[in-house]
Amino acid sequence: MPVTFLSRLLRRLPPVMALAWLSPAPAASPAAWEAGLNLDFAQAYRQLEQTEPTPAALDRHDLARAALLLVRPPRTPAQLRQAETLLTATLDRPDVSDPERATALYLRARLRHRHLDPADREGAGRDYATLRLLADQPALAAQGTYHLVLMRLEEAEDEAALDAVLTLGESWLAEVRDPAGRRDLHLLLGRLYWEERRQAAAALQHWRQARAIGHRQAARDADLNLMIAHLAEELGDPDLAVIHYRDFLHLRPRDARATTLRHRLAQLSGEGTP
Amino acid sequence: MTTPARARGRWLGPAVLVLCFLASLWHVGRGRVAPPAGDQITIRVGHWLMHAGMREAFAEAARRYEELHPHVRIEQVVVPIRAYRAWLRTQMVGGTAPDITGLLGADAEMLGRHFRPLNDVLAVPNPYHADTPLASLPWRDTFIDGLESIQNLTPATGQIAAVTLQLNTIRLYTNLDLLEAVTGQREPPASFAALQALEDQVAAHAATGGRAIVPIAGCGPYLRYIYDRVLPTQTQQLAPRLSPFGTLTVPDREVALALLDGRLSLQQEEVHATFALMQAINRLLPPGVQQLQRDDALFAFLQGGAVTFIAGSWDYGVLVRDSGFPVGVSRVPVPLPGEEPFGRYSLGPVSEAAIAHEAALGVVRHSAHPEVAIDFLRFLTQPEIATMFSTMSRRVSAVIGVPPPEDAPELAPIMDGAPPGLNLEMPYFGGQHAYRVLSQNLHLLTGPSGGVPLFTRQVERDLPGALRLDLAHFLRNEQREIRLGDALAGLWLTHPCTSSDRLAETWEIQNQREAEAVRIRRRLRDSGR
Repeated sequence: MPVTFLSRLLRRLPPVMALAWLSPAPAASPAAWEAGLNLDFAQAYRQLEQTEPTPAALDRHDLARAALLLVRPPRTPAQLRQAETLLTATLDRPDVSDPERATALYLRARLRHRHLDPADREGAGRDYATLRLLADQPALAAQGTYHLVLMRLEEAEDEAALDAVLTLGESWLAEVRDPAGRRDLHLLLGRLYWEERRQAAAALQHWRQARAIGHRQAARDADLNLMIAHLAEELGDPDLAVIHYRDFLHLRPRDARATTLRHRLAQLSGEGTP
Repeated sequence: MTTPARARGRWLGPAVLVLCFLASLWHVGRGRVAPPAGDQITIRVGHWLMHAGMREAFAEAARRYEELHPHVRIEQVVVPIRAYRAWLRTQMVGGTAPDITGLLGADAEMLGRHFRPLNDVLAVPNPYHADTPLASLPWRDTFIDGLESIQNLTPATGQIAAVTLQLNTIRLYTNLDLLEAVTGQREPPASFAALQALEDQVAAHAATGGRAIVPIAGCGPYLRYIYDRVLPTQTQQLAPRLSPFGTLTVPDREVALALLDGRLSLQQEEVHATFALMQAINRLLPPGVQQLQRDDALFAFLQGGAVTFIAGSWDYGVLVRDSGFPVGVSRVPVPLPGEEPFGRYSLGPVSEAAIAHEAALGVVRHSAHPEVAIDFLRFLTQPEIATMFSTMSRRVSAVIGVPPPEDAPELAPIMDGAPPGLNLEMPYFGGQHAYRVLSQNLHLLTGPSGGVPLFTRQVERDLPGALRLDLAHFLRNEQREIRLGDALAGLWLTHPCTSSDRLAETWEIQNQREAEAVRIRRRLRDSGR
């Protein structure tokens, strides 16, 4: 009889469930990370919660959970506090590895700077400053430097404060070893020199260095070429402008600005209009 | 006592339930389970493209692909556009979406969760391009816009979730018989002045006993397209001066900032010229145009109630099929440099290199045969098939070098135009507060006793507050993207199989976005002082 079968099954379920509960949880797999990177943060967090990391992977597991707590809906203050606690606990572990310590610092700085409301700027500043000095983690150190400069810029309300940001940025730039980090700092300083100070030569120097490093997205390099060419023209250096207009057209031959720039290029290089 | 018949009856209900359950399992699972090697593979293609010729073009492409790959069968699942968004969401949540699914209405979250990133396959040449001029190019570079419009849908991740089959352009369609009756000529208006002249010509035609008609059939949604094509010509010369870093582009946020910090003023001549042009365009359209819908405008044109119709390239097929008169297709005339009265600030026709995509198709994550689905997408975008698509659907291909429909070469995008000027209305910016201020006061510009001074005075009063709200809205969105970027960076930093490339890409996007947000906040603060 079906009813009898069902009642037998129900009687046997508790021991089956208990067995499932007692069996070891599966080890963390990249699937949780993949779910998160596909923007399914709730699913990613659930998967991480249901897995038992090996002792060696514990810190990484906790850091990933903290990263997910920054955005997992619904985003509540309690959830952000939980993320901060996880990150602080990781930093407090005596045996934490250097890369994981740097990641924890980075995530905690970001959380304090851009996620808490109101922001804990002092705490974020301390974390960025510590991160900035981690010589064995150049990419994260560069991020620390970049965001510290941005934070100072946000706080700069007068000309003197802006000067201080520029001085600080220049001096810290010399210590940044990660190429992508150097590129982003060059870009930022160039923008400040041009937009806030109208110092074309200083801006041009920074942007040329940024262009020499290059971006992963060609569209960004293309725009940077125009920024450089524009300043080169401002400074009366048509040869430099020509180089960068050509580079732009090489990267973006069908861009909406391409025809205009071909005409400009022809004028500057003395060639006939295309 | 129970009779045997009653005993059988007791089993009937549970048996039916079990059968239904098994049938459901089979139905849901059949799309997901890969058949054993050598078996027939079915790739389903879900889309909303029911316009004339599209389904037929898909069917023909499927037939040719099946000829090449006899073990593959391509099935179309066509869903009406009105139901498409709801259908898409349901299919995604249920895990039953077709292998290849159209992107209409998909947001960044849906793209990330449910569509496979195509970045890697787009970075290498499309094998179907062998022996064509595109053979050596990465697949991505064989699209006119380099799929930038698709990448812009997922700014935080940089994922490219689809390829586009077509592009949309906006064109002037002319009822040539009616034009001849009204003007004595059969050549569509080639200049903005000629288009403007239709106002008087149509009035004269009506005065001599002709039917009451309008120069341009229009509707609310298409009014936007007309404004987008024509109005920015008035600020083309201004744009380079307002482009903060010399890139010749002025995004909406920069227009808003410039209006707030005084670099741009509503009293500026170029701005007045824009408003005057807006007024002139509205005089050519039917009264109450904003309340009309696309079908109203289409009907008016097809019934001979309008000399011209400014509409999309997507409308061309239906116009040719359903009009009982010859239809002329031409570029939307814009004021050209030197032309009176609107050519003073113009640099000429605006480039259409960065125009809207159409027929964007991606591969869903749960597809049992993603490699076959991707191969079919490659096949669809090879020049021969793209040309067939373009011919049958009478639409513009997104693939480089594919000619426009033979009978309407004017549908091809303008690639040699000038950069656009400013979009002063900012219809898609922030919370649309500024847009509402402008559109709610439009009657002061286009009404019988309206004019530029009256409109400008009223708008000037309400605009600053609206712009601040829009910028605040924009910054909130940016903050959300920045937070998302932090989580992604955290995941890449802790990923068991770390990819430093993807982390570097995340930071590249993140750092520039954050620098721009800080810049806007500083400028907003300065403009409030």
